[in-house]
Amino acid sequence: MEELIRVVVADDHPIWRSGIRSDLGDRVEVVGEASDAPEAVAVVRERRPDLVLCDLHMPGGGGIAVATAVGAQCPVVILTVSESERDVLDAVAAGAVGYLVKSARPEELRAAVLRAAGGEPVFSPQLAALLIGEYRRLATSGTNDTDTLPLTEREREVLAHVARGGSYKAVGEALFISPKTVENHVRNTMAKLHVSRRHELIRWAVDHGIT
Amino acid sequence: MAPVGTMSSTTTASAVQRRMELGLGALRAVTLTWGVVVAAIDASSGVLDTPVPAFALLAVLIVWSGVWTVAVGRRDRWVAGPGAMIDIALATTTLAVDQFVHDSTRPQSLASAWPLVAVLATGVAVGPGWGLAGGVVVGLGGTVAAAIDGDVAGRVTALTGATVLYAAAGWVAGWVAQQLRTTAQVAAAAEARAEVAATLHDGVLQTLAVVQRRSDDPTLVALARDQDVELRSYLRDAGRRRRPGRSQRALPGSAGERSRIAEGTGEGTGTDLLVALDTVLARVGSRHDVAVQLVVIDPGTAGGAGAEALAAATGEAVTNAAKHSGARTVWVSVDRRDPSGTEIVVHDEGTGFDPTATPEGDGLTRSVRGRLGGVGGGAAVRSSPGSGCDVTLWVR
Repeated sequence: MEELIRVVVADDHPIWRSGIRSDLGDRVEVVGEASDAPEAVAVVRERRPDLVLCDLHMPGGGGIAVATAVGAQCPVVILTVSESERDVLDAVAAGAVGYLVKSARPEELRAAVLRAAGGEPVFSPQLAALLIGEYRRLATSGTNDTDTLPLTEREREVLAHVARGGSYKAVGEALFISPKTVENHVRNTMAKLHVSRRHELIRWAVDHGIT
Repeated sequence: MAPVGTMSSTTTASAVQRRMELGLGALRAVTLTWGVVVAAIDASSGVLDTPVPAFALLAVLIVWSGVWTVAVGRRDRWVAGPGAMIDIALATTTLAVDQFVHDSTRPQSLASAWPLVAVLATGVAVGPGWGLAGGVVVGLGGTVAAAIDGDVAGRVTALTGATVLYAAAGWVAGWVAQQLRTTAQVAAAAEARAEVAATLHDGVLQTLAVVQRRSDDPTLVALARDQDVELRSYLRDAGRRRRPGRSQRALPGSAGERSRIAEGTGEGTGTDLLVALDTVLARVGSRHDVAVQLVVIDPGTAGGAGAEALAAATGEAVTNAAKHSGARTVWVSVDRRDPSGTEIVVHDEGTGFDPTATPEGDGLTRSVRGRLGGVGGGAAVRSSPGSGCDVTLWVR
């Protein structure tokens, strides 16, 4: 039998935690639950799960605090009720591997958990759209010198195709590259966001005399 | 002089009232300090004929002002009733005594502007009408005292003017206090309503999400989806009207970074289009049992007739995809066009077809092209058997 994927679920609504637990199916074992960010961080450090599913809004800093604290140790997937929230970008910049909307169907949730635990980013068209908007903002705000983050032409194309709803397979066919390459491009755009945000923060700190 | 009913209003209004009255308490202290200094100077220079009653009255005013200010601080209710009566009585007494304690030169008023502060306090504590009445009483009291003292003749204008000023001051103080209370109350009510609405919306969205995820009843799921779409479009609309809006819940730790992100992608006239799209897509989605995913990168500049035509054309393209492609999900993405305009791509990964082998009007109806052409836009289809379909619609 295949090994179970060990997951920690963090959400301040108990009904959600039990709902997610029952939706995750039999290939996943919930090894811990938490109702706020500090608790989630403590549980993750103690149980060392393969994946954290974490609500964006929770007491004590929410999903962003959790992604910042443990994102380097294990993949953090953010759950949110709203697809348009820009907070999602902050979560990704903080180290989350992606996000899911809470209205996602159980099979979508299961598929995303399996992929994320396997190291793939949980990348939706909505997230691609947010990334495109963010990169445009960076490009027009002047904080972007050529050395920090510009996306390659290919990465831009990939993001645009993913934002339209194309699966990795369909995007790959449209651009004559393999689905694996599409995924790598996606991963790079997220990493660049992570880096550029940190650059921006450091720059901000230097500009404001905080060093 | 009974307390007026409006005093028993909300805590916010009474907090504003209390702050104003504490301010008046401070003003009483200032006028009395000045009054004592002046009285001492006058007494030593001999201008003050009878210092004993003058200082006795000042002592009474100091004690009363202290008692009044403490009562205001403790929110004692008698301030608005007997308290105001005592204020008016003392103010009148002060003006009367002022006539008798000085010799004829009378360089300064006894107790400085204290009577005026007492009239202001009456207006603030009880209302503009009572402030006016109190001012008239104080002014007339001064006039009567002057008449008894016997030097009214040359001062009729001055005494009348003083009465009018006292009355006006009492009324204005009451009126301003009333306005401030109302404003504070309205602001507090609006704030509270926004807070409740935000919390409620969040809870309702959560509940709708639970229903969509966990119900086996397709009618219920469709209903929840419609309500979800409607609530989101309402929130988007309300958020734009309230700009610069707050997100539904404050998120510690990211406030500085978050708000700027949304701004870079043109806010322009996109509201029309997004509201129209929400409505059209919810209708098409529930009628044809297909999940429609809307992805907005940038609403672009489409507005008015262009936005309407674009939304309607999108509805037709999604309907086509739902009917013919066999796909369960249709993606609708919205982005700007350079240098202006909006472009929408309707994407499905269904069966696909060969556009060259399909007579025009089947893949994309003539009405769509006609409608978009009429507002300076256009449409294009890219598809091949087995690899889904992209319909691109745009307006300039």
